[in-house]
Amino acid sequence: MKKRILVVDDEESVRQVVSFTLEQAGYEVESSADGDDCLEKVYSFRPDLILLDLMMPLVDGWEVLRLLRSNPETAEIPVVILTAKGEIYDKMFALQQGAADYITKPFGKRELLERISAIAK
Amino acid sequence: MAEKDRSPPDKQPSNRTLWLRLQTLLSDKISSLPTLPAKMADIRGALEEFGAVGLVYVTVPRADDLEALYGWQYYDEFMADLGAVLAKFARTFLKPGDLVVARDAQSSEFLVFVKPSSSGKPEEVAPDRLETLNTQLVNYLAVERNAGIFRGHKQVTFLTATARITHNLFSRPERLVLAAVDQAHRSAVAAAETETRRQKETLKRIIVREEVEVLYQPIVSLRDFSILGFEALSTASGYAEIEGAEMLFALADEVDLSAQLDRACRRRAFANARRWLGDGLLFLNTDPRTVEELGTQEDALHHLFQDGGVAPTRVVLEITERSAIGNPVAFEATLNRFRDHGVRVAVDDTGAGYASLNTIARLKPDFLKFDMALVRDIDQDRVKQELLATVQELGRHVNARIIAEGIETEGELQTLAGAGVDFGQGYLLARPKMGRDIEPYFPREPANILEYSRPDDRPDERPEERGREEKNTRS
Repeated sequence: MKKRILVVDDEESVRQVVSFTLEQAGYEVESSADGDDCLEKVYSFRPDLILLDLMMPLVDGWEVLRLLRSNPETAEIPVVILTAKGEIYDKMFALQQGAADYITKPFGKRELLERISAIAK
Repeated sequence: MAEKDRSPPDKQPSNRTLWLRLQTLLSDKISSLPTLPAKMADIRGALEEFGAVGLVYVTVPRADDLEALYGWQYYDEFMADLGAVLAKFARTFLKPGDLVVARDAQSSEFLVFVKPSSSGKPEEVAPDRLETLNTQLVNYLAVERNAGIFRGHKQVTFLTATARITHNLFSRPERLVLAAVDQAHRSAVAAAETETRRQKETLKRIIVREEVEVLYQPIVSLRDFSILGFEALSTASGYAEIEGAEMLFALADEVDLSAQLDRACRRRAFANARRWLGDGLLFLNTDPRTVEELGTQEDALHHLFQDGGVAPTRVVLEITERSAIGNPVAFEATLNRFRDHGVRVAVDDTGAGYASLNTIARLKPDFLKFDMALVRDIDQDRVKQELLATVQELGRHVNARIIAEGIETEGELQTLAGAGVDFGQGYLLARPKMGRDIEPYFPREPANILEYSRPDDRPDERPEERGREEKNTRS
């Protein structure tokens, strides 16, 4: 069965490129443009993995991560943080908050697929 | 720059998001207890039905110090333990319909609501049962604490208070409940203040008489176990009101005597170490305020070393950012003046989330001390290994060596050494020692003051270590 991945980013170009790459690699992909929509899709789409941008309007990635983690129903879904922020502190904080991995933009196609296949086994 | 999807300015989060947010407020995720707002309807119901409800209030005084001293992970684990103990207490001692709640999400205050027994007049029954319950709770918490729950934190104290809520026709039940909680909180705080006043008097006496005892814990190379230096650890013994070093420094912080206490500890540490330190380094825990205060003085270095005998080039100031730096520019200027004379700088508790990358980079430390909480079980924890790699990356970036703190198991040591960590410290390697126990050995025979020797060197002397290792390799 195809693994399902939810791509959450407020930049449309990022959503398109990442979705295309993942679909080519055989994943089933849905995308959200903000954290609010993401939380809705987590329940309708039931992803096996979430690729989550941090800086988003309305409901940001930190809150999405926190809300997912604090709910037993969604606490186990691995979240990979996808962000332009390269600060070590952000990375540490994301991992401490329960993120499974952290990919810094810009990233290569191969890096993206390798990290994801390592987690979405 | 790619065009962004702009949400309309008046867009509200969806019901799903609002519901998830609400859930985090109605249940305290840390203690796994419901919050008072979530249970208010039940309490109001009981109040209206029985005419009275009893309250036992319990809190951890200075709970925020736990977070400030040990980090939020430790705090969360501590509160999770407290939540579990309270739930267990409820199963043993409470009756159906009684409630244990957290005052709010993330709160350090917990409330036990008890209904009066349905037989008999509630006003006569409740007070008696309340006091009994209060005593039972205090004893129960003490037993669990001594059994090593609460992260093995033996010094922790709990404050309790009781209050009674009586229904009347003129007040809203909810407000009566909130007022009772406030009142219980105030009486618990008043009791704590009396205790704190006594402790402060004792602290002043300790500082004036320099009644601190300094122990020295070796910091060793993880490659060849040669000794880099010693961290001076100060405690005050002989006073029942102040149990342990943590309490001593937390108290000094609270009454703004940190710099004075630091000075007393420094004097004692120098007085002893100068006889045997030789080429070793002496790591001194230093409150940022000590540095700031010294900076205002004409000859800061003189003040730092007036108690002398140890050369500035042998001293490493361990800076923790747990108390904030008021004026970073002046702080760094003072620190740099010390460094001009050869004083080294270590950042304490790196990785615990206090110091940001920028701060660490600006301080240009010689050492980064990898936080003890992150060393614990690092051999089994991928996230902690990940954090170590991050701190090592940072160390390379600012040209600082890494010292792992609080190494207690063989597994932790192997993982840290395997990852290329330069230095280590911890009970597995060597416990803190009195100066007079180090003097005969150091600097001539550093290995003698270490408890640790590699298992393959002495295969028969550490059966329990070997046992654990075998278990690890089997699994």
